[in-house]
Amino acid sequence: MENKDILAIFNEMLTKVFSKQEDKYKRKRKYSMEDYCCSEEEKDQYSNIFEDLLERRGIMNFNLFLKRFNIESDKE
Amino acid sequence: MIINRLRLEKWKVFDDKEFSFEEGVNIVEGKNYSGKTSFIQGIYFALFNETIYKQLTAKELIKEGEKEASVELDFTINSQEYRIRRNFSGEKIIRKESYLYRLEKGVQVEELESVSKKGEKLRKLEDLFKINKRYIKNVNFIQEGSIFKLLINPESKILEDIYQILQLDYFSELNDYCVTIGKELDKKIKSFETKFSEASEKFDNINLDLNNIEKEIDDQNKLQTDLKAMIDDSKKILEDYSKVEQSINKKELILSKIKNEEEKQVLIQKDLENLQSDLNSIKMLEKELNTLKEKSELYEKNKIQLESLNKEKKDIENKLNRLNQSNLLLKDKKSQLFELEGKRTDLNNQLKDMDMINSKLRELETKLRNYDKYVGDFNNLDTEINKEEEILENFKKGSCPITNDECPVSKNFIEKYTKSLEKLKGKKEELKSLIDRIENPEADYFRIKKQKERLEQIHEQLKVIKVNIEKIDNEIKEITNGEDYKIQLENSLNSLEKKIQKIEDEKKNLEKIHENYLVNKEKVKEKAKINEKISDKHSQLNEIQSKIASFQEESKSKEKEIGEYKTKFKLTDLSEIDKERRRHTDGNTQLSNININIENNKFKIEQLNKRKYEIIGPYNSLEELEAIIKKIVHEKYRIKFFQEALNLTLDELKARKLKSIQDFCTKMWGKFRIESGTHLIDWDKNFHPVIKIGGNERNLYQLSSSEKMFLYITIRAALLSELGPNFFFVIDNLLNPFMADNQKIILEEVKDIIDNTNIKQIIFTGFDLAPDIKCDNHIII
Repeated sequence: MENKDILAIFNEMLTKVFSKQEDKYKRKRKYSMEDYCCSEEEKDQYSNIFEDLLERRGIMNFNLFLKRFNIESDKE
Repeated sequence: MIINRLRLEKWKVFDDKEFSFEEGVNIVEGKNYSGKTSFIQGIYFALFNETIYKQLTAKELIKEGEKEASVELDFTINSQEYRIRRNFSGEKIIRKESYLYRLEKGVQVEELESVSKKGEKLRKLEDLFKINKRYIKNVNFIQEGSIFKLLINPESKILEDIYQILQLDYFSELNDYCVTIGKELDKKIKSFETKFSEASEKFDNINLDLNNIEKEIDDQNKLQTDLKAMIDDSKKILEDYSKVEQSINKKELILSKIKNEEEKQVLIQKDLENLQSDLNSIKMLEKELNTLKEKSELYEKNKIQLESLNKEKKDIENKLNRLNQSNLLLKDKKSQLFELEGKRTDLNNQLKDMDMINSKLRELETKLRNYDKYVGDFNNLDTEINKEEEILENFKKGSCPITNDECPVSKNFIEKYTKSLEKLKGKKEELKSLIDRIENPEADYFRIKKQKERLEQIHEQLKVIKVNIEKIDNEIKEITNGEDYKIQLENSLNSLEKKIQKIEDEKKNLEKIHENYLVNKEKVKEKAKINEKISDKHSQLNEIQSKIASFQEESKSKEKEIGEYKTKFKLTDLSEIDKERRRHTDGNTQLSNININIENNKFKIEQLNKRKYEIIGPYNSLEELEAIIKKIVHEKYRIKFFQEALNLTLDELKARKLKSIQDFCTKMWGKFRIESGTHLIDWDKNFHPVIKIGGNERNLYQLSSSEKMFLYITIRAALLSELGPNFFFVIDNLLNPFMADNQKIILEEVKDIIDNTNIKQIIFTGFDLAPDIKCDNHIII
């Protein structure tokens, strides 16, 4: 199985999760999707991240992973 | 990555062997112990500089009897050819030299990197080409026993191993990372939230304070503006008022000036009166002055007389003093005289004994002249007696005193001899008593001699005393003559003193007169000055009077002005102006107080703001902290989102891959068992195969070893078909121990895999292969 097939599955799953989350937050009306979850744009970003991670399969780099998620390492 | 060429020098069993490879299926055929596995190890060692299956020492890798070995591998990656060469030696693996070259059509073009003996490290290939060692080790190299293990070992977890080979554990690792990050973010959020809640609570309190202060400031500002307006209004009125005040003040000033001038006038008039009385008294004095002048002349004469008398008096007093001094001397001399006379009488008494002593002395001197004679006789006698005694001793012994020969003597002779000797001794005694008497210090002679000496001394003293007495007598006579003169002097002194007293009495009277005269004289001199003063005072008086007149005129004009203002402002009383003025000044002080309050409040606000920032630490505001919390929460949810998607993907992938492997296996199984035709393969939930033969089910452990072997190869092939990356594959002993037909079937499947996937190159080893086996490259070791 090639990376693009795996990525396709991942994207499929993303939309699944996205719709589920959307329903959840819409029902709750407590948080907006923009604040806590993700938008359609972010969905694309995730598949990019995942693609990148697939290419680097086996090189598990925690900091790289954080970087791909734009998470700053804790200053405190 | 495609492998093109491998060269092994002194590596294990190889002396110097070179292998070249093609794309597609490469078979390496060799007998047992021919070095098939060593050859595979050589590829791995060239790539990663370590042994693949277990850590071997250099000694185990180098051919027996050799010291150095080298491995050289040509490969293509990203459509570029490279060559890696590793030389090593020693007991353990020492990365002695590593070289990387770029190739063009199999020819070395340039050296890219190298490790010299200086210790510079060759960068790892995985870093240079972004290949994954772990992946290659687990996936690209398939160890001979690795899949056997799956089937033989009852404890093995087939699924896990399969997922590992398929790299599905990668997703679960990702998932684990997501979970740990989520936990960390949770912690972070919690700490932030507690901080946030604490800070916001404190913030609310501080904000309340701040609001109160701000309200206060607003109130104060309003008050200030009102006051300012009031002050502006009053200022205009006060300008007019100040003019009135000025005129009033001026009037008051003028009035006070008039008062001052009047006071001055009174003072000057008093001075004038005094001066005139002085003038009158001076006129009287002028008259007296003439009479006083005569008397003062007398005073001068008296003074001169007194001076001459005083001189005389001093002379006499000096003389008297001298006399008194000589009197004192006289007394001393008289007492001395008395003492001396006493001494003289004593000495004279002593001198009377002198004659007697002299006569005694003469007698004794005659005696003394015999003394030497006595002494001489005594000495002679002494020697004589000693000699005689010796002779007597000899006689007593009976020997001759001269020859010492025996010479007996009669007893009578000896008796006579002893008697004469005793007589001599008696004489000697007498002489000795005489000498002793003379030598005795208490004897008369010495006593009298001493007395005489003393008397002679007294005589000498007497002579001196006599001379002294005569001297003193003369002096006394001289002094007694001076006493008459003294009496005369004393009389003249008394008369002089009387005269002086008289003149001094007169002098005292005259002195007083003289002083009066001098004072009067000076007072008369002042007369002109007083006259000048009087004229000055008169002129001052005139000036003051004119000033008073002018001031009175001015005050009248000011009073007129004040009257005009009074009518203008309809003021009945001047005190109302004062009230207005006070209001003005009060307003000013209030304003300054308000300003101070505002400043204080500003300071308070600053302090509170500082406290605010202290509470939330490094953040500038509560909003910032909130934003950070929101951001982190957002991150957390993003990761959760990703994780969820990942989990779902993993499940989906597992399901799909399992299904494809199962399908592949059943297909292969079918091919292997075409002839029997009734075998079916199924899988339980742990991916353990269940074989159905006829109506009977048999599990993995009930299978025969050849059945197990079939199963193994099907799974292996299925996995190969599932692996996607564009890489070579090395499989150790793939085709053993299958029969020739089955070997062909497997090879067909492998080719099928290469045709249908991106796998470009498969290298596998084997022995006893079918003679007509078809492949792209057949190498025989």
